[in-house]
Order: sequence, then structure tokens, then C-alpha cells
Amino acid sequence: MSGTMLYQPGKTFLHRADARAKIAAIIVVLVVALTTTRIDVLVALTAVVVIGLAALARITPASYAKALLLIIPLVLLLTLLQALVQGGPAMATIGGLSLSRAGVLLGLGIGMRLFAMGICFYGFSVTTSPSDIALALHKVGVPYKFAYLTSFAFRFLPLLQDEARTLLTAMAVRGSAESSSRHPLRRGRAIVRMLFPMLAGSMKRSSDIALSMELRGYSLPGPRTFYRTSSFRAGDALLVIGVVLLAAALLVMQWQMPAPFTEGA
Amino acid sequence: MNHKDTVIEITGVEHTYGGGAKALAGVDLTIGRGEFVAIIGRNGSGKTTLAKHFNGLLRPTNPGGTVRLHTRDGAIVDTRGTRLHHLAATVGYVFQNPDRQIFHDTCREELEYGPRNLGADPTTLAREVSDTLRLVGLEGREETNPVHLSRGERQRLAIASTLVMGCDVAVVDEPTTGQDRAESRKILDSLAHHHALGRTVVIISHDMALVAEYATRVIAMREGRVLTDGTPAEVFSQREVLQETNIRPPQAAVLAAELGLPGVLTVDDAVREMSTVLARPRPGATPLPHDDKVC
Amino acid sequence: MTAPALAVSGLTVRYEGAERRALDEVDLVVAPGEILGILGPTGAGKSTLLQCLSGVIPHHEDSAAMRGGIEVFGRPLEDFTGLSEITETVGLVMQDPEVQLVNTVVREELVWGMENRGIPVPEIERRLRRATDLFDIGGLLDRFTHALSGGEKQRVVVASIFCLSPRIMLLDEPTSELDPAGTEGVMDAIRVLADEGVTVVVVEHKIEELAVYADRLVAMRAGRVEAAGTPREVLTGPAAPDRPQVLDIALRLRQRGHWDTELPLSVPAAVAGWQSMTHDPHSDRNHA
Repeated sequence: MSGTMLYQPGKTFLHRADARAKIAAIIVVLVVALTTTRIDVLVALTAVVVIGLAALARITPASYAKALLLIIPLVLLLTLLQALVQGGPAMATIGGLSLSRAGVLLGLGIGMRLFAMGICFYGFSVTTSPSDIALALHKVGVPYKFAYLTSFAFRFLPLLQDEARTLLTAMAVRGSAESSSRHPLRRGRAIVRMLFPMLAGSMKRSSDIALSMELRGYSLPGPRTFYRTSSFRAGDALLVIGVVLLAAALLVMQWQMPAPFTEGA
Repeated sequence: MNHKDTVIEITGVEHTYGGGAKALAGVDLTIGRGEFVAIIGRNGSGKTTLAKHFNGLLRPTNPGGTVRLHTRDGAIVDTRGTRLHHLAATVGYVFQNPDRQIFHDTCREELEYGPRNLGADPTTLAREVSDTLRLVGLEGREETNPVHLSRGERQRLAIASTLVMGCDVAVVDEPTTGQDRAESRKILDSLAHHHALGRTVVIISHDMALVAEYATRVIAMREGRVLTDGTPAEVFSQREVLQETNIRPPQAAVLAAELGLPGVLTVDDAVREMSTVLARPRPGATPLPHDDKVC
Repeated sequence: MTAPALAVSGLTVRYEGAERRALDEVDLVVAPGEILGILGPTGAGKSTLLQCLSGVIPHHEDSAAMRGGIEVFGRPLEDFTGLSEITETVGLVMQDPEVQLVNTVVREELVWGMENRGIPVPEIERRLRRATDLFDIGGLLDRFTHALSGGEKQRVVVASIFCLSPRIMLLDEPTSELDPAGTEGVMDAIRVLADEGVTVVVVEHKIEELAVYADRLVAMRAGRVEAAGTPREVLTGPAAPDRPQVLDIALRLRQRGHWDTELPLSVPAAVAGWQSMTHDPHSDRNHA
């Protein structure tokens, strides 16, 4: 039922952490991931992210393994391309095509980079409620009315998804093979047929939604209270400091240790 | 029930949704050709989950559970492993909200959609469309845009677009929600007309007065199981059993039970039974001298 | 005399391009703390009336031409600066719960309107507890709004308007997706609120519940008020679009000369009436 909604309420350290701290931590991880292509550093980073989520939010790799498996073909394709394009010593030669060692390492490195970032985002959305994201945005200076829209989107995406699914199912139960077809073109036809009623429905609905928000004071200028308070606590500071230290350690690792698999080149 | 005339056969069906909630906890059920079945029960008792198994919208989540459809040509189809649109010719399903199943600009196109998918004969289709529109009380509205119909009319249009496919069974989820009394009757009358053609109708409903009046069989659900199953008279007379699931029989039946009059389901029944009692000279009740009225 | 909660006179509305008036010279008075039930077939103008009473017409819906007077506690509605000022007194629950749930989690949904109003947190907590008790939604607080059943959605929507603590609540078919037990729960809550002085106007097709819970009924048809009065007056009259089954039975028995005691609106009343006719011939015989 909650296909587009990753958030799962819980009481772990990461669930309770301030969304701002989590966003800061993500930014640090992103910076590290995007500034290096060294496979050893990226493997270490991914390992830390995986262990961190397991320890701080009880998110086991099993819960996101399926999504990772979907990226693997992409990573392999990328690696193959890099292996063919990059120069340098060959790792292997298959049928006259030489696979560059540097290319393979680069491709796998980029793969690890995707893994690290993906797992990080997953961990964030599982542990952070949409309204906390909105609140965090508001706290860093975004006006509430705009910040609220992020949480609003999480409310209505499932609704649209649900509606689309019902319309497609309604076609299938009336004997339409195309609405449940795996053939993208035939399925596409069903989706086109569905779009107009969906669009018409959304137009009518958005006017009603705007009204019901109005009726509950969304556009009032006056001071707003915040029932949920999020305060940046010591634990949140520790989270940020820990991630920064970790990033520093990885950078040191990059400078101090020779890159692996490079025979003195 | 004659076994030969079975249309839907359900054995040991359980259904657990993703979140872990068990919506069906073991249901065995046989639906016969030509029945008018009403599934009743509280919100969340598993009514819709059960009904969605009838045409493969949902499949049992336990390996032992099966749903088999007996098609007109004598074949027996297991909904597991059969694509949805292949089951459409046998069991039609009308969703609760008409607006999520109407996607054409005219009533005619809306009705033609299903039969065309099933490969209907184009020469007789126009005829069937106008016949079905008449059946649901929308005669002559072929070229009307559904957005110009009232909510109740759109509900009847959604029902018509399923009935026109000539399925053996029509499953209709809460057809009268939010409808006024007159419109509710028109909707149920449409289904009754279809039933009179020898087809099977299954509805989910909270409106016990309508259930008592139209259904030939009532299945009461509670916590994912069949609580009781029988004719409306049988089911509505089990007041203690129904109380467990907070179902209240129609007022006429409750009143008659309170008064000790058996076999009353509808207002007509009650009026008949009660006037018989009132017309009888009452034993032990000697009329007072000034009472000049004859009871 | 205190001013009525709502006083409507000559209210007439016509939508752009419509053949006839949606409301046609409607007059209506609602006393404070009263539950007024509005009956009528689809298209009678019930929802349009609620939209006028809540200021949605003309402030939000501009395709409707409106004339006539509406006073809220003696103050003309056109004197209010806009929809937001009206909502401080009048709360409207519309038909479709889906469009009225605008947050992801139920607790946030209930709190959101109060936050927008700048209500202090302790008061928010007090009303939240009250709403959870009244509408029996304690178990739903941490659920996602989109994953609720239709009936649960309806209860949350009514509760979230209650949280704004309006003096007048307008409810458009608030129980359409609820089972009988759930319907009774909402009606009980409405009764409690009315006893505390909240004025409730409820549009509802469920006649058997309305007959028992409403203080007064209005029957509408084609934009006009056809009958107004106590449930007994309206439901026994010719304008009633529908009747509780027990009343129908009694009326038909009366036609045959059989029901000469008071007409019942509920099963217990019908049982009592029956007993007075069958068991004790000495009572209720003379005024038939």
C-alpha cells in the first residue's frame, strides 16, 4: 500500500536524530563519495555507511539488497565501458579487446560510489518522516509554506499512485490485456487512456484540497505554533562530528596509503 | 446447493497484506450460479479482500488456498496463474468509486470498452449497449458525457459497463455508499434485473434494509472469517451472533424479533404480520364498554 | 434572547450555466447547541447550502451567483473579512475525506490546523486528547493517512475540524463510509458536542440515525425547503424523502386503522407502542 513511502516510524538513534544533522551527515558522505574514485576509499565508505545504518537505525542490508541488485547491471555495464575506453595496462584480453585495469577499477569505483550514496539516501528516508524534512527545511530558513509542500508531496504521491493503479485494474477487469501487459508499448496505450480521467480528477481535487487547507488556516499570516519541536541535541552534534572525523580519516587513507592494484605505476 | 451449478469455489483462502495484517484468516465458500449474494460485516472485516479474490484482483497468500472459477464452457480455472483479463469474461468487478473506472467521453464508448476487449461481435454490440443502458435506467443516454451524469447515475454507468460484458458473476463493492434512498433503489434494481436474467450478483453492503430485500444469500464476515452464511432470514435471525460483529439487522426484522413475530425481513413483511396480530381478537383483552373500535 | 447561531433568509444560488437555481429562497434558523439534520435527494441543494453557510460560496467558489442574507450569531456573513475569519466560527467537513487529509501521519493531520492558528502547544495537546477520545481514533494516531480505510479517514477529518473548536460545525455526509457501529460513534460524539453548546448542521442520508440524534430536521428538494420541524413533524409529513422502517410500518398500520398510539421513531419506541396496543387495552385507547 505504501509503495512510494519509505518512512517507517521507529525509535532508533537515527529516527530520533534531528533531520538537520542527518542532512549534514549525508552531505559529508556525498562530498567524500564524489571527490574520490579510489576503490579502497569507496569500499571503506560503503562499509561504514552499511555498518552505521545497522548500528544506529537497525536497518539491515537485507532491506535494501533488492534495490542494490537492480543497480548491479548498470554498474557492470559502466565497468565494461570504462574498461574498454580507459588506457593503461590491460587486466585481461578477450578476443582482441584489452580490458584496461584502470578502467575496471574506475568503473567499480563509480559503482561503489552509487552504492554508498544510495544506501545513505535510503537510510535517510526510512528514518525521517516527511514532516520532519519539512520542519528541518523550515529551521534552516525556508518559509514554512514552501517547506510544508515537501511533506504534502509525500501525502499525495501515494494517492495518485493508488488512483493510477485502480484505473489500470479497472481496465484489466474489463478484459483489457494492455493494462497489465509487460509490453511497454501496449501498456503505454493503457496509460495514455488513463491519463485524461486522472488529470481531470486531479484538477477537481486540487481545487478541493486548496479549499480544505484554506478552511484550516494554511494561508493565515499570523505566528504559527510548532507542535513537534526538533532540537539539535548533543547526540546530533556527535553524529555530525563522527561523520566529519570519518571523512577526514578516509581522506588521510587516500593520501597516506598507495592506491591498490597499481603496480608502482 | 447443486454442485454442478457452482461458479466460484474458494477453499482455505488466507490473505496477508504487505504490512503483516491478516485480512483473511481461512475462508471456504462456494457461490452458486444465479445467487444474489450480499457480503456484510464491519469496516475492516475482510469483505472487500474476499470479494477481490473472486476475480483474481487478489490471490491467496497461503500456498494451500485456492480460488477456482467454473466458466460457462465447463472449464475450471484457478485464479492463481491466470492473468486478470482472462478472468474478466467470467467475473466482472465494479469498484466502489465510479470515477476511478470511467474513462471515456460517452456512455456508449464506456460500455463498448469491455465487450470489445473480449472480442464482441460488432454487429450486435450497439444493441447490447442500449439494452444494458435500459437495464440500469439510463436508456437513450448513449451519447451523454459521463461527467454530466449525477453521482448515482455514474455508479449505474459503472455497473452497466461491467454487466454489458455478459459475465457470469458481477461483483459490486458498496454500490450505494453516499447515495440517497431513491438512487440506492435504482442501483439495486439494476442488479436485480441482471439477476433475473439468471446471472450471479455479489454485493458488499452496509445497508441491511436493502440486503434483506434484494439478496438471496447473506455472508457475514468477522475478522477475516465467515461468521455466518445463509438466507437473509436465517442470518438476520441470529441476533446474538451478529451482535459480535456489530451488524444490526434491518429495523423491521429487529422490531419483529422483539415482538416475537418470526420470518420478518422487510417493511412489507412486518406490516403483514403485525396487522394479522392486531386484527385478531385479543385473548384475555376484554374491550371496555366505551371502546367502540374493532381491532 | 440570544441571537440564533445561523439565520438564513431568502438565500438563492444559481451556478453559471445551470438550468435552475441550486438554492431557491431558502429560509432557516438554527439555535445555538442544536443538531439540525438536512435531508433530501441528491441535487436538492444540501451541499450548496453548507457551502454558503461556511462562506465557501462566494469566497472560494466563484461560478455561483448568490443573494439573500446569512447571519452567524447575529453578524452578517458579508461583514467577515474572508474565509479565514469565518472559519474561526464555522467549521466545514466536506464529503470527500481524501481531499481533506493533507498530512502524512494522522497525529500531524489533527494538529496541523491548530498550528496554523498559532494555538499554544499545551492547548493543542488538550484538544488532541479530547478529539482522540471523542472520535475513537487513539489507535490511528501514528498511522499514515493514505493507508486508512474510508471510514477511518472520515473520523479523522471530522476530528481535525473539531480540533479547531468552531462554535458551528457543518458536516456533509460525515458517516457515508462508516459501518453502523462507526456511524453511531460519530453521532454520539456530535451529541456530546451539541450538549456543550456547539451548533451542528449535518447532511445525512442515514435516516434511522438522524431520526434519533437530530433536534430538528429540514427536508429539501430542488433547492427549496419543503419541511422543517422536529424529526417527528418532518418524518411523518409528506415531504420526508425517506423514513425509518419502524415509522413506515406504523404509518402503514395506521392507514389500515391499526396503529392508534404515538408514531415511533426508533425500535424501542415501536416496541413500547405495540405493547400499549396489544397488552394493556386500558391505556392509550381514548385519544385515537
